[in-house]
Amino acid sequence: MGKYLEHVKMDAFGAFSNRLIGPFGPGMNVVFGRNEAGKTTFAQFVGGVLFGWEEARGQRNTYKPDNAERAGTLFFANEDGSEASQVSRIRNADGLQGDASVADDIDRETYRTMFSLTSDELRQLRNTTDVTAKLLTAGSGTGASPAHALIALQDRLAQFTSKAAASEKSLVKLESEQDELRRRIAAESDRVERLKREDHEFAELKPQRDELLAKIGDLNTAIETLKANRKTLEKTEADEAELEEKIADLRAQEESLRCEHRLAQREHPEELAGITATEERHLRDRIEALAVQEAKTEHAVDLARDNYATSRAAYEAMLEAQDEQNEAIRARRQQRVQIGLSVALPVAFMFAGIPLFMHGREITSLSFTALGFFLVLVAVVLAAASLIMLFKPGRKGDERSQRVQDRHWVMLQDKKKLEACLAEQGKQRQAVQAELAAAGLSEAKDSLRHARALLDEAKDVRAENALYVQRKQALVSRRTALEESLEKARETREGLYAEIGMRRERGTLEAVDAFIARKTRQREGLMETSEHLNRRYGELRQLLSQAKGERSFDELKLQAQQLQTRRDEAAMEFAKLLLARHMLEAAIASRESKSQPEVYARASELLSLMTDGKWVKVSMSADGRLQVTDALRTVREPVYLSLGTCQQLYLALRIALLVTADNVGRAVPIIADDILVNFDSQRRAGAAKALAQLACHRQVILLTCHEEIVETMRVADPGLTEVVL
Amino acid sequence: MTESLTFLHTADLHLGAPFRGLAKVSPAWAARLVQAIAEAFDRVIDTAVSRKVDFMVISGDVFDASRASYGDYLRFFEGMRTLGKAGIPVYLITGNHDPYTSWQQSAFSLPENVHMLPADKPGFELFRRNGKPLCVIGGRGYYNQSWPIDECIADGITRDAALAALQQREPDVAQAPFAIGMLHTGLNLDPVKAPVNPSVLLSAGMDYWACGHIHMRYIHPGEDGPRIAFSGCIQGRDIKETGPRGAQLVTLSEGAVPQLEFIPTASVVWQRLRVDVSDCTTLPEISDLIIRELFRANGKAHCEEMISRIALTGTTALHEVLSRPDVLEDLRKHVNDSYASFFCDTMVDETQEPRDKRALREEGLFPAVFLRVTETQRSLPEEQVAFLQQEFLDRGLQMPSSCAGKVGKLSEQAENLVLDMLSQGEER
Repeated sequence: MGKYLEHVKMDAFGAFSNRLIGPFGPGMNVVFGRNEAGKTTFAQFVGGVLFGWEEARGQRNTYKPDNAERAGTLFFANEDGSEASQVSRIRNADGLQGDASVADDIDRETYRTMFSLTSDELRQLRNTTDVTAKLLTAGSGTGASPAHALIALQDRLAQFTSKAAASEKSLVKLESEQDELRRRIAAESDRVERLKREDHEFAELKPQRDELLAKIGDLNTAIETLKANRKTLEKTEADEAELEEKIADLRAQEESLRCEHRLAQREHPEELAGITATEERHLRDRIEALAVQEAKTEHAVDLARDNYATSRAAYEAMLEAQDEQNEAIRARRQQRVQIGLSVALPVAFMFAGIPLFMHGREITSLSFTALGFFLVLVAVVLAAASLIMLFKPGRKGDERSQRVQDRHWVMLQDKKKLEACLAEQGKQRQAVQAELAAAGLSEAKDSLRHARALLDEAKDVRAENALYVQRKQALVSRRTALEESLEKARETREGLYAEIGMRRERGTLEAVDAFIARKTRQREGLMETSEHLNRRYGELRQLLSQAKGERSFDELKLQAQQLQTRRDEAAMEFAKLLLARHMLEAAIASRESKSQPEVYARASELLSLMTDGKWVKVSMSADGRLQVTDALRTVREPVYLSLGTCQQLYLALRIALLVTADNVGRAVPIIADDILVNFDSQRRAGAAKALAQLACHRQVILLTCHEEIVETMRVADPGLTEVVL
Repeated sequence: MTESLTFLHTADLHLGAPFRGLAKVSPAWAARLVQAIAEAFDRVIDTAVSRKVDFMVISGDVFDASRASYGDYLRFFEGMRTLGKAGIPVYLITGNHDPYTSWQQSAFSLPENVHMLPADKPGFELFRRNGKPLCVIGGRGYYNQSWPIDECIADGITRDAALAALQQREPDVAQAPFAIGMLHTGLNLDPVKAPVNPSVLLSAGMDYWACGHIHMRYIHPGEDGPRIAFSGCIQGRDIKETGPRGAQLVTLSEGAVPQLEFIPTASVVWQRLRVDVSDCTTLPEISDLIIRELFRANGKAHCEEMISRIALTGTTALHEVLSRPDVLEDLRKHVNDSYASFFCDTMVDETQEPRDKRALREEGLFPAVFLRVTETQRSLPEEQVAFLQQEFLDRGLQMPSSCAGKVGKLSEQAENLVLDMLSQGEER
């Protein structure tokens, strides 16, 4: 045996400060203290110094004084009395001060489960196999204990299944990364396929685009042509309308001409209008002849009449000369009166006028002057008139009664001649009348002048007729020309409609407009499509030219391959570690298999001792579970045991392990905090014996508040050291 | 006058294929690698044009099964058009990676100078030079990814069958002095992908069989009388496809054996190096040794850029240092920083601590127990595989298929690892 705990100095821990506890002996020690004397504090203090103070977390009692750092020292002594050592701790960060080798051969976990025993701790032994392995392989002749190597392997293995982001080798993480990458590759692959389709579309788009452009070009031309045609049509139609109007006008003119003509014709005898120029000339000759004849007759009549008139005048003149004497006396009387008056009146006026005139000039009165002048003038006029009257000739013829007789006869002769001439004239006139009537000039009766006039009229009518015909012809020819133009215009129009592609009867400007509108709409539609196409074309061109140099797909694939390699490598490493662990575990088990029977034999013995032979065997089942067998060979698992028996089982197992693994925690005391309270007095005595056996190998410090337990311990181990708190 | 004919034989272009087996490619090298296959393809086209070949044959796998990017698709069709402009016809068959069905789905149509032989039956074409029939080409591609095991892909592809088939279309076909066959086949090397017995091909009356699929250059019966040839892939793209890769320039002359010329096209070569560092006592010595080894390996390659996977082997006291975290990674970085044209993707430490296992056994302590246990376990690899399978399953993980084959090696490494771990406390 080597070192053992001799004193404990609590500088500051829980409620204690500067408290020294001890001395303890190397074997069994019993520390008696009433409640609140500091037993548990003591147990916690020893663990705290060796393996670090408990971190202040949650509601747990960490024994930290209010205004100080936890601090304390453990003093160790050597059994042979040689040089002592001590370890102390203040801050966890500073670690264990002093001779740290006392804790070298034990870890915190082992201390907790095996060295620091409480009633609760005794109800089980967590990770029995691990703890067993740890204890049993300690001191195996290697630098690191196999159990430590196993733990290191476990840690390294854990990295491969860790989900932590930092663990590069985690297979779980690598697999999820791979899934993610696969998803991205699938997406990228789809994208590539889409690009290929789009390339195809792009290639197909080009001819489509060209075709569309050509179509639009054609439509443009067509629309232009249509519009030009429409303009022509419009003009043609206007022309046509104008022409039609003109034609109608001409027709009206013709009609009015015809009416006029008809009216004119109604006024004139038909037959005269119908005679020809030759006939007329003939008629005129005849009329001329008749006229000459008539003139002759007329002349004869005139001559006869003149003769008659002369003779008659001569006769009558004879007759008148008889009365002339009487007449001459009366005339002379008359002449005297006339001379008297014609002298008296002018003188009277002269006398009245001259003075008046003179007076008027004197008084410069215009009216008197004028009146005077007028009176003088009247006097002059009267004088002149009377002079003219005075010189009128007078006649004489008395004796010519004979000559009267002669002259009467001559007169009668002339009369007879005249009558004969008149009769001749009458006869002639009848002949003329008859002839004229025969010539169709009955209207003229016997008047040649009338006949001539009629002929003139007829000539006029004829001229008029000729004019009418001429005018009519002119009108008709104009109309015909116009109609021809119209026909031409119509043909043009129909031709245009045909060109546009319309049937004759359908062809209207509206229809053409509608057609143009349709074409325009079609063009707009095409242009829209073209625009859409162009946009898509441009889009695709950009997209594709951009995609051409893209390497993301390849990069992703390379990444995926790298990830796969890394995963394979990690998996191989993992497999290697699994094999290593498998080997190590097998080796540990193999080594344990030598010491384990010893442990279980000792545990069985101890349990039998504690239970007074009721439970006789502790063993490990084939599947690694702890089981106990009673004197009647009934096998139980610890969960079915009573609390006391269960604690006895685990105490027995621990003692057996602690005795067997004597190279673990050689200097560290086993501190048992009132573990015997659930034991009846008989079993307590057994347990005390078992603890005494342990105390032969290790330092044991039993804390209790029960005096009877102290007594029991005294019985079991008379050489024990007692310490009172 | 004897006729002669020159053509370029390529196969396994695998446009769009990612590089496999890499783990930690730097961004610069990643950018380099995604271009490598396309560049190799450009070299093939350049060679065909500059060497003024009569025609070119592609014996399958133009595109990789993982699908090519849009840019690579365009590049292929542009390459074909370039050849078309140079008056070079191309005869191609489909492979298991780009079977006939995949071409049918493609939106791209082949230029006029490219003739794809059918996959559902043997197909034949006649090559004419200046109107004179010169070479009959017969072949057959893959219809979908797999070839029915009960069918022989070479059935019906013989010179006689070709003449009979072409007679109708090309009455003067019989005047053609040469005949070649094209197949995407595993030959007798890959029993899964349309295997063919070489003797079947040799008796078909063809002057030359241009084959594809196995990715490596392979000549049957031998270089001095090649009758069946694989040109290999144009760019190695797997850590296993090491060494130079390229195309084959074939010259056929009447009354002579085919003359082959290898045209290297790869942009990047792959190397797997094992460097024995037993004699090194410091880390700088190791890195110097690695760089010397890289130069030595590159001396044999046809291209400058080299990507490598380096395994350090040997027994050395530096093993413990190498197994410390980041030491290996720093070494890799140092090597990569030294020469821009070399890239070490992965550096593996396979060194061993000098350890006398016999002595350990005799000590009779825990290591002796451990070695006894491992000996037992390693003698039962099936159980180890079953154990691993179960462990992986329990964690919901997939066990790599290569685990089973490598379980012996893994066990050895595991044993060494545990011994390393157990001895780690000793130095302290």
